[in-house]
Amino acid sequence: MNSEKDCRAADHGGQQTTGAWRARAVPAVAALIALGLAGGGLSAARDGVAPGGAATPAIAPSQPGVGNPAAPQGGLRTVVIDPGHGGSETGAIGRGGLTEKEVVLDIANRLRDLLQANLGLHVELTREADIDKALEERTAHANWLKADVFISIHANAYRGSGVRGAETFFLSDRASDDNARRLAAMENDALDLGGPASGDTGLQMLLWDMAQTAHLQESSQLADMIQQQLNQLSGTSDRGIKQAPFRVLRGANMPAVLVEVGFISNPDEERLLADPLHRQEIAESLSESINRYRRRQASLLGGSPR
Amino acid sequence: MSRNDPKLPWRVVAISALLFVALLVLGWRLLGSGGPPGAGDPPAGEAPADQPTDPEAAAAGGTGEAASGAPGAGQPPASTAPVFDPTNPESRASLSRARADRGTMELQLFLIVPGLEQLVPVSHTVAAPAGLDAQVRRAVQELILWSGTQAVSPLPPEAGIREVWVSPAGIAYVDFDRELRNFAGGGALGELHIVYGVVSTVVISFPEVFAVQLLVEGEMIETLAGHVDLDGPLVPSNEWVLLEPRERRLPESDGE
Repeated sequence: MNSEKDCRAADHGGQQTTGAWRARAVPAVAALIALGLAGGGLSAARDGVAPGGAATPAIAPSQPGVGNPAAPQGGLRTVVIDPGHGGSETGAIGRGGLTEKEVVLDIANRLRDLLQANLGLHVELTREADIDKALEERTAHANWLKADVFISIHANAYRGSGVRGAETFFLSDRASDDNARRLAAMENDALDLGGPASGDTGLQMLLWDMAQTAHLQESSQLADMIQQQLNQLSGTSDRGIKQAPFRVLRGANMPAVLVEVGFISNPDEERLLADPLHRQEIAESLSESINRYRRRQASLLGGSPR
Repeated sequence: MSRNDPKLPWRVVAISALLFVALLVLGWRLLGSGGPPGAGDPPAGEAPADQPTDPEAAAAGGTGEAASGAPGAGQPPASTAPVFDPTNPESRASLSRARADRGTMELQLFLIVPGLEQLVPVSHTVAAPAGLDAQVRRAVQELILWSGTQAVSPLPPEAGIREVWVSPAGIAYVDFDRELRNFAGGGALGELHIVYGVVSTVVISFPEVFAVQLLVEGEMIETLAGHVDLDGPLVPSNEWVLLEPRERRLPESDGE
């Protein structure tokens, strides 16, 4: 009897509170501008200063790339592949016992071989074995190499075993999160919550986010190409490209994506992911999308890939 | 000397004229509140700052529709209510006081609807404890304990809350016990749903909360399961929750 009224009231309330939530960001932004944090961050980024916390390996933007000393300006030559998780971080585990960390390492190795053999690219993995590796170290390694592309490979999982398909992520636009982050950093001077952000300043955090923000458009295009290619694999359903605040993408100073190649929690997809043939198909699909992306970049620069 | 004397001193005439003009001006101002507003007049009907209103309705636009059944329902139109000022501590505090006075609060719980990747807000009215910290804690508890057939909670019922508090800047800190890390199941999608379920429920339900920082065992963590960055507070994301109005009230939520 009251359901229509309740629904209308709820809708109205939701609309208004959402609007109020957006309005609440305005004073925070104004306060930050007044403090000069935003301006400082922009100029620092333009000067090529990269952030680094105490627990973060130093990033040396001025250091020459190890793998591509003679790389033409803007040409895609170096790829860093990140097999997700590893060591004590198993990642998701399928009902049949298949672990995400072993699946993605195998796919990463296969992809490296393909990229080296077919495209002649310099390829490095963030981990070559079943070891723990901090998320910051993974992107820091790619930054140090001055890699042209960073691909993190994962397998998804969910409570419901019926969920299936592949999806590709790039970093979400973090402007709103950044405002909250800087406010929290100012407040947390009085609080010691420890953890990864302890000791970071708002400016350092802003610079970390700006590293990837500058490449969001290219990351989006790369994600689209990868997803299109994955959709052609038999037995893989399309979940599209998404944006999310994934930590491993945050500090990457190059186009960066995270690929979820399937749901290990789905028994059918677990069986597929356990099959070396299917892993090879995934690797070939990723290799082909990188090749397409490389050709597109070369055509934009008016040249052709090597 | 007669009053009709044409030689009445000009000073008396001038003073009388001035008095007349002054009376005219005074009369115009006294009648002004009921007459057409002048160019420099204050907005007609502006409420004094201490006029009792429903702050939650004011924050929601003041139409009274959002708080139907609440004391603010049927009050003057939006332009008469004080505007919620997120930078004013008293303005913020008035919202939680109003909920406690009313005895109930309407939450927007962000739940999983099978077949949808985005979390869907569901309106849910519960008893309102005193104080914003307790109210936010209650909201997260309601999210955890939600049971329904059409929509399910992104958090398991075993998830334990250790502490909840809201900072002066409007950041809610929600501290879970360590078991939460196991519930994400290692997958990115489950992790995204847990994080944005809590963040969106708190921020959308409480206008005085700007963002949410998830903690585990009292400390910031990098991620719950290796994906979503938790070393700072988060705001709701259109990518992962439906923020636009839709069919919100599902049948199983009617009985509270």
